[in-house]
Amino acid sequence: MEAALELDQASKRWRGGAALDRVDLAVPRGAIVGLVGPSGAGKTTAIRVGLGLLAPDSGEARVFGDPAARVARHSGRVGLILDGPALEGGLTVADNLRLHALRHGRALPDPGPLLEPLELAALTHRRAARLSQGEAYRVALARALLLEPDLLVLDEPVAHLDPALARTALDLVRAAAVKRQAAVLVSSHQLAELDRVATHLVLLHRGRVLLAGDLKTLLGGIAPAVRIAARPIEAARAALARHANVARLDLLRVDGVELLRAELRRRGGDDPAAMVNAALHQAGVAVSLLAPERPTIEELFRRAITRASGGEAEVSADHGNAAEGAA
Amino acid sequence: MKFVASMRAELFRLTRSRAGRFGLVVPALLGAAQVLGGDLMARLHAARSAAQGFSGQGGGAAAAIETAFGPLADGVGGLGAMALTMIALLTGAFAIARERDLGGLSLLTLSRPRGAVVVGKTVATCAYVMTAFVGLFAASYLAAAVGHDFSDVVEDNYVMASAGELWIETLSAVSAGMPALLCCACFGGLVSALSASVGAAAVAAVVPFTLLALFQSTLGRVADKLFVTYAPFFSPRAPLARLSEVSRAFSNTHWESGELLRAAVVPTIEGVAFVLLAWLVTQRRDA
Repeated sequence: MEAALELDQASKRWRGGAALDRVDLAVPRGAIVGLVGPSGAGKTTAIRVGLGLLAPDSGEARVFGDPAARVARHSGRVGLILDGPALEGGLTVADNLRLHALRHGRALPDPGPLLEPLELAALTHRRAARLSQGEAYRVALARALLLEPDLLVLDEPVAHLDPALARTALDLVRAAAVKRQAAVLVSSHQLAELDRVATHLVLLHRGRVLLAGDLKTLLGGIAPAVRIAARPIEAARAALARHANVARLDLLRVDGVELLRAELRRRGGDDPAAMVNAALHQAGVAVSLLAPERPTIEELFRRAITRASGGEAEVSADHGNAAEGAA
Repeated sequence: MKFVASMRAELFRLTRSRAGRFGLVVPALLGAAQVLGGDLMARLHAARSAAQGFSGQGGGAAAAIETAFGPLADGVGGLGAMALTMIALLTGAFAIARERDLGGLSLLTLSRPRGAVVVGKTVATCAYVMTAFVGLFAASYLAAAVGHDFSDVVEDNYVMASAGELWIETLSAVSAGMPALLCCACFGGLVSALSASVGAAAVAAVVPFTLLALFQSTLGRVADKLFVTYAPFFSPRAPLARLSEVSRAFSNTHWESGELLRAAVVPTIEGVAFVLLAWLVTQRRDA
């Protein structure tokens, strides 16, 4: 299927160096592509080049198969949040939505189905200048979804929303992808939220693609791991460190409680938690918690960036844990 | 007609915001206030003269009766027109720069080709300025009609100018003066396309314009080729400013040969050039 948005070996240089370095990116219809990376990785530049707002120094950018510079041919087919909410402060919420429809030469569709779930129905007559930042971002999301676009490009759409509204907002985005087969590109630092909705992932680092592909496949590449609370912890640590199936063992301190995190080698259809439990039982260790870890984008992110930085960098992706020791 | 959607959206934006509505009303209020204020001052002056006549000479000369054309010209070419000039300049200057400030330029670029956005915004700004001018004219007309008649100018039983002739003079001056106002909006639009922010656009539009307006008399023949000369902003050569004398049918005032034509043509050419330049700049700049 033709990608709604494509970057093909796109490069862009600023005076400080390469913002994008031969980046390939495709956003197919029906897919939700998470675009992640540390600050300054080139995510926003990639979006700008992809939408024809910036001309690439080399390579190509296409929107619905056309050169990105001609994106206006597809007026109304692209919903966008970029550079903040970009609302007209002097206009009401309703007028901001009407203005958006007018700019695209369209009649204003009923915004009710978007305003209700985003808790904006009571704010329709409030001037945008009087909205909080979270409210403004919700209006921007409603505006992006208003004309039922075939391509949604959202730069940090939920950064200013509380968890419940962030969930609702991304549910609306997912509904657009599932029901209307819209192509969605979401750039975000909210990796846990992306985990819920993304079907594909592109990880940028210093202008280069570190990781790209179907999210299930990427997450499948992560070795299974379990978290263990046990007493005595040293005995558990010693027992697991000797075990042939344990590839890596970390001692974590979470809220003052010591936990072990064991990364396991894949062995056929073995249940990793059962294998660890058996080993600890044999060593006479009392296990109070044994929780298999679900592989996450955050873990992918941390590993890829650590690898790219020569194993030295610890990525600040809201881990909250300090790791010490290794098997 | 790809610019039509941009134009409609810009007109909607200008007329739905408080600032936009304020800009439409202010010139009309100033125009009417100037007419009524001038009239009041004239009546006070006449009353004082009459009172002095009673006390000093035992009788007073009758106050001169003015037709409504003079006050109308005062309203159309005075403070209201000056305010409208500034409004045209700033509305043009904010058109693209504020989108850049707000982050809305990328949204605009996705909606229509950049050239169509520039043309749409410029046409909408010009329509807005014309609407404000119609308001200024109407308010001045009503204010002038309060204490005067739109009748012939008669002096010593001699008709210096008939009402019909004065209507023609007034409408000619308005037609010739309008392009300069619209050119101000186009100049603001060019500055807006070049500027990175609203503040920079405002300064870059207002400062050179005001300096040129203030010192245009020192520019000699070059002034004839500048739209600023014909804008009713500190320029005695602007048709709207000159109308005040012409409409009173003073014996020594009349339009010079080609004056109105020049006032209409020079700003029209420059305005189109400004729009073309803004179009070119927007094509080349990143959104």
